[in-house]
Amino acid sequence: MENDVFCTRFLPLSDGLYRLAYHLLESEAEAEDVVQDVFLKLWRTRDALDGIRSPKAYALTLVRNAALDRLRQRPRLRPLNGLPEAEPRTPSPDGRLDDRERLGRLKEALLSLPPQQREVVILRTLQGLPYEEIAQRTGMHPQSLRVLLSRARKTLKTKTK
Amino acid sequence: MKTIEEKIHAIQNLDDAALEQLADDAGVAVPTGLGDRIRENLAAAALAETAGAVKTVSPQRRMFRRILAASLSAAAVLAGLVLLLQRPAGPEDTFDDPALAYASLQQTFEYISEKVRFGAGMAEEALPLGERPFEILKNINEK
Repeated sequence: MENDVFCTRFLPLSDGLYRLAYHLLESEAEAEDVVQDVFLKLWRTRDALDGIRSPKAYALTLVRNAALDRLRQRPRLRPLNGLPEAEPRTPSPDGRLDDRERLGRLKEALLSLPPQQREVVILRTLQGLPYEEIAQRTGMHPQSLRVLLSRARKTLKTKTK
Repeated sequence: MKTIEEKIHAIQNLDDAALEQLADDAGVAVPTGLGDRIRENLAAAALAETAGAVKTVSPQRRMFRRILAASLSAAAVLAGLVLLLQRPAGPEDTFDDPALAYASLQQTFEYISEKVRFGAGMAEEALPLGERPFEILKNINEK
């Protein structure tokens, strides 16, 4: 599935997915975590989503399953009084950053960009829009847009090194 | 109050219609900026994919690319040298003296002008010949 199609079909479902997650987990923080996880899962499997007839039903099922996983882990997740705090996670022995850690860094770097640069990066990277369309949406000249995007990429690269 | 097991059991029994009904419950307030945060997360994932794609180039492939680039550069330099050495000596295209340059330009224009006049003369001479077929056809028709 193309990035822009993914964004058009799945992103508008976020509110409904959150409501379902909240009903199942009765926790705002956990509900949002589940919704974020489900969107990441959908994004990573987007190539296989073209055959999905009802994106909403599919995504709701994913939320339900993710919520069930959370509930099954709940007793273990709750900190027990008197037990020492878990040690902070360290990178794996081969030096590669954990997937979540890497994503966290990238997100942090993305959020540190000026709003206009951030929006352009999202439109280009996530939605895969062509320069002309981004220029139309943002009202920027295509040439300035390329310069802006290049600067944003440099910043992201520096901040995630 | 339900235990975790009871809750899990109840959720497992929810059908698609029930899931949709819960998802459409407008009574649950959606946190502000949720959509933006999801977009940002996905953009980070997309960036990670791009970065990953760059990093997955194997050392062998990287070495091959370097050798290929070096070979192509060397070939280009060699070709440039060969062309430079084989270049025929061309005519001088500039004049140090402006008067000479002007004279040369005038001479060139005169030459062109002469050729144009000659061409126009030939066309004028050929014009009556071009009308001959019409005259022949006219004669045939009149007969």
